[in-house]
Amino acid sequence: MSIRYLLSRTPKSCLLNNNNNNNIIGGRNNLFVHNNNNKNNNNNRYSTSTTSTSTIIDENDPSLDYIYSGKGNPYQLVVGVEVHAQIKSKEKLFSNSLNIGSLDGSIANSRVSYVDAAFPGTLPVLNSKCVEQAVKTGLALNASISKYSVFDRKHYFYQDLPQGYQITQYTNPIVKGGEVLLSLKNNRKKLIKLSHIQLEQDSGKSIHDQSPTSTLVDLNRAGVGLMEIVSDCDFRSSEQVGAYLRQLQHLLKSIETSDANMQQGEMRCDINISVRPSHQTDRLGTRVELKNMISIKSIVSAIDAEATRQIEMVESGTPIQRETRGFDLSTMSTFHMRTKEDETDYRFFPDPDLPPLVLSQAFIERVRATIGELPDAMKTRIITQYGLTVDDATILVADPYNVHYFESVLRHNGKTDRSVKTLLPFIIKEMFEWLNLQNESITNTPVSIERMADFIDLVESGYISSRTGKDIIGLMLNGDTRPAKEIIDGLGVSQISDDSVLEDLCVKILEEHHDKIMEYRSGKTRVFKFFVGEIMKQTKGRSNPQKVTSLLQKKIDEFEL
Amino acid sequence: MYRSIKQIRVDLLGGKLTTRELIDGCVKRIEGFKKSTNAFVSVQSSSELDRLVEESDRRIKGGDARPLEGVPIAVKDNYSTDGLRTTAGSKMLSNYTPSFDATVVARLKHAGAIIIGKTNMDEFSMGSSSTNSIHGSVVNPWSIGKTDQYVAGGSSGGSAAAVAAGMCAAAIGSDTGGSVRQPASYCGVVGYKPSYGTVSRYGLISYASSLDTPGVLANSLDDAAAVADIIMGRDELDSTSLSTYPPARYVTSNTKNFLQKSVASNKIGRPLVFGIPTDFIVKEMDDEIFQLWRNVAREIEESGVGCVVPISLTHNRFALPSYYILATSEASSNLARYDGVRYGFNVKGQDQGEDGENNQSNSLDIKTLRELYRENRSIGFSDEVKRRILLGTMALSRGSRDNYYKKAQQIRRLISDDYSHAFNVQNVDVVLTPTAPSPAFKLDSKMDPIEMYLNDVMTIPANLAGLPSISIPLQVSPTKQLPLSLQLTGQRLNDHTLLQAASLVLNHLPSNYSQNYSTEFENQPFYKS
Repeated sequence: MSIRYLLSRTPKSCLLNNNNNNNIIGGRNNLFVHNNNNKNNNNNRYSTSTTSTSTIIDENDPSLDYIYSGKGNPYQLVVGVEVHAQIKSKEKLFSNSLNIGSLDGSIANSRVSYVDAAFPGTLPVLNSKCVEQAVKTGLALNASISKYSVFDRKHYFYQDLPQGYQITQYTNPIVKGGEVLLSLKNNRKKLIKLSHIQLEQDSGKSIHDQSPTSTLVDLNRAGVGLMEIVSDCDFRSSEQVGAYLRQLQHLLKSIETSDANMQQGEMRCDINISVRPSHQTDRLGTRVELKNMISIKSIVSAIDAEATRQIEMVESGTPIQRETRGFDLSTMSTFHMRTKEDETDYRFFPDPDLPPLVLSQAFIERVRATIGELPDAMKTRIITQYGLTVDDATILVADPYNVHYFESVLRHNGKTDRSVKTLLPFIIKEMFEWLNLQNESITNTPVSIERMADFIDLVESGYISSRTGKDIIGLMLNGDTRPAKEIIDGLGVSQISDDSVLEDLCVKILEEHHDKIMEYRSGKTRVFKFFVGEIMKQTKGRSNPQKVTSLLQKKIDEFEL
Repeated sequence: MYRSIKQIRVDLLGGKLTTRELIDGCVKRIEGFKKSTNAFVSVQSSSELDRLVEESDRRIKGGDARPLEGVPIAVKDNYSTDGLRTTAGSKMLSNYTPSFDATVVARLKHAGAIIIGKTNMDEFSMGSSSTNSIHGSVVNPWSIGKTDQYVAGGSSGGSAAAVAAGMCAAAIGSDTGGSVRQPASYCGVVGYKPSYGTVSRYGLISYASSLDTPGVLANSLDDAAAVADIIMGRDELDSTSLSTYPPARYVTSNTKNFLQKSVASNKIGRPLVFGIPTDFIVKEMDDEIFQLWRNVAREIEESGVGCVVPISLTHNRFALPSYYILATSEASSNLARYDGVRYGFNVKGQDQGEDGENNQSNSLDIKTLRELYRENRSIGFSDEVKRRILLGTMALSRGSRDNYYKKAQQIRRLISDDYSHAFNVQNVDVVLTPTAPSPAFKLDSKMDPIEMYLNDVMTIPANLAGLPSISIPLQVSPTKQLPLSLQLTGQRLNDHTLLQAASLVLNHLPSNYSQNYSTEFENQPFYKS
């Protein structure tokens, strides 16, 4: 299922539900998580309907996010998020082997150097591109860049970790702080503070299900650069986590520091989650780590399920174990993976093979200059520049290429008067619906910018009606590669805009209905609609209604009985 | 037998000697000393030697001889050598043949040197006697003709023995806590450890990355400089390799042969200042070494070629514990990669050893990854290596890191500061000390691990501070008939001053140490045989 064009447009019924702070809905466990908007997340929703009207609420009121237990006690959720995003770079973090990127199905162990496989005597050499990408990400997240950072070794033994340690940044990470302003439903905003971003190596992949007796190891991924983006424990609802991940994913893609595709494992996420009674704000509950979830949707569901489980335990007086849990989509519940006590002592220490990373202000400024328009700024701009609704702008900025496509069509051939109102529905309704259905990205749309512009010009000139246009764009999306005009002419669906044809038709119909002209002249102006209807009938709906109206008006006035 | 690379070059180019004769002579000596010294663990195949000899001869005839054309050089067995087994003295790597060259090896080959073979060493460089090796102990060539057997020192004992007994023209070692200088002093050859960061570690099997320094063992200062000139310099494959060597202020146009020129030039311009650290006078010190140290200092002062000042390196007494915590910490991490999965020793025998001894898969029932790692590492590493891995693992563990690893780092800084004070405030050029507290000791005599660690007490500080340091043989002990050496340690990246000072001590003091030592050396049975 595509999440590329995922929108959270909340229907009115849900808004009401949310405003009354009483989100106790009798559920399976006589307990229900407050946040039921997820059900309404239809992945393929592209309507250009008006912006939802917002009620004035205190967006910082924490009680809005309380979860109520079966007994009606309010609880607060406390969540921290660690995102691992694979860095978009040609080569790995410390070796010159090619990065796998999202290349699926490349031959196992075909992109492994002596360094990646930790052969005796090999040494890591930092890839400056990865540094640049981390700095760029930090700047885009409004964080401070460390001019001095250090690489540390984190030790554990595993078959897909060839060195026996991971090179990471434990004490002095390259990026510190940062923030993400979440746009939530109901026009709520929430500021999430970031702790830091650290550069580190990815591990290889262990494949357990291809041989009954062995584990297979693929080191293609070993040594790929990761940015670990660590948030503070600022999240108070699963909705916030979902919004955060979507916005972060969106940002990383638009500044091109990560492809951030979760299905491909380019973006992975660990969740630290605890609950506490709403009055107990001075201390945290015991936290549980959730791992191995493969989509934002399952992360949101996992948080809801885990919150439910923890609240039940607190209510029943059972102490919560510090542990790592996974999420089972089939049962929609979390399950035990390992307890914290089993964890190894990672024995962090600065990697003696790598000198501290020292960055100059000039370098940081050079990277800053490469950051284009960020999604939030882009959104504000297109709203003012094109008079778009917030919702339409939100849909467009979901992928920076959407905006590029939209603006390029508008300006194609140097024209400045193409109408946003004509164009927009064809993009965000017809085309996005089709793309969703095909699970395709806009970069692969079969309707190029040129063809879309030509098509829009035909609609605008009245050559075809908007309604016919929908059919034509449908054909173009589904593989008709001819120019729009050729398709229209082939089908014979162009509007009759030829004045002489319409003029003759008008005169002919007027001739046949002298009685109606009399009625019209005596003041029964609605008879005019009868004439229009007749003309449309005779031209099988292909005549241009504006033209028909103006011609008819003229002819009826001139007509001599 | 040649004791000078310069002479080899003159004779090769002058047609008095062919590469064939030179290489065959070395191979013959390697064979001849195999039993008595056990210096080599692998010798280059004769077909590969034939190929290299031919190429060198062709180049010499064609007038395009490279700087070390045809010069036979031995390499310690912890350098990766393409197609030549590289074991680091360990069972863990007993079946490992790399497919790439260490940068040092690649540069030597590029300069025309012929890598004649790999030398024996303490397993993963952990030792001071070259007795802790899967290939057996190295025996000091000076034992030949004596009733007792002496150690060659370590961990580059094989390289030191190979140079001393003329099995090669020079050898590459590695120095983490004295592993080039101490065996050089025991075997009576020059052992030079350049400044940290001036020679690439790429392809050198890591023991303790922040201390490991490739070094040269040679018959003379000139030879050491000639080899060092080839292997030094920035390497992009090693992030700790410096681009600032040689320092720009000493380089006018041509950086070639920088050290050789420095040694040759007698124009120092002013008397060098020799610092004598009184803190180095330890009770374990051999009396003859102490006398030698005192005599050399007095001669420097009296002859007027330099002056001698006492200096204080007060934190030196903490050098040994600091070193053993840092080195073992790094080792515990660097050796984590040896799990037998991708290469090396594996009890499950997927990787059969060359000697086919890994047939234990039937008797061992390995079910889990943890069991596989445990067995591979328990059997693949010797007790000494396991001891150091455990020590380092402890020092880095959550509860101990602040008390051990962090403290040791602080001490390292203080030691480095002591040297900086001597160099920058007292204007000392080089620090003069013995290389080791004693000459070579008897094989099997000093095997208590802690007592063994004490052997490195004089050499370790230079590694902790990253300083260039050299051991030079000056005398043969009249009572023991074993070589006695002193050590000079210079300011970081002032390797040329260090070599000039060494030249001054060897060649320009009234006792004429170099000349006299050569005469005595050439009277030794291992030289004449």
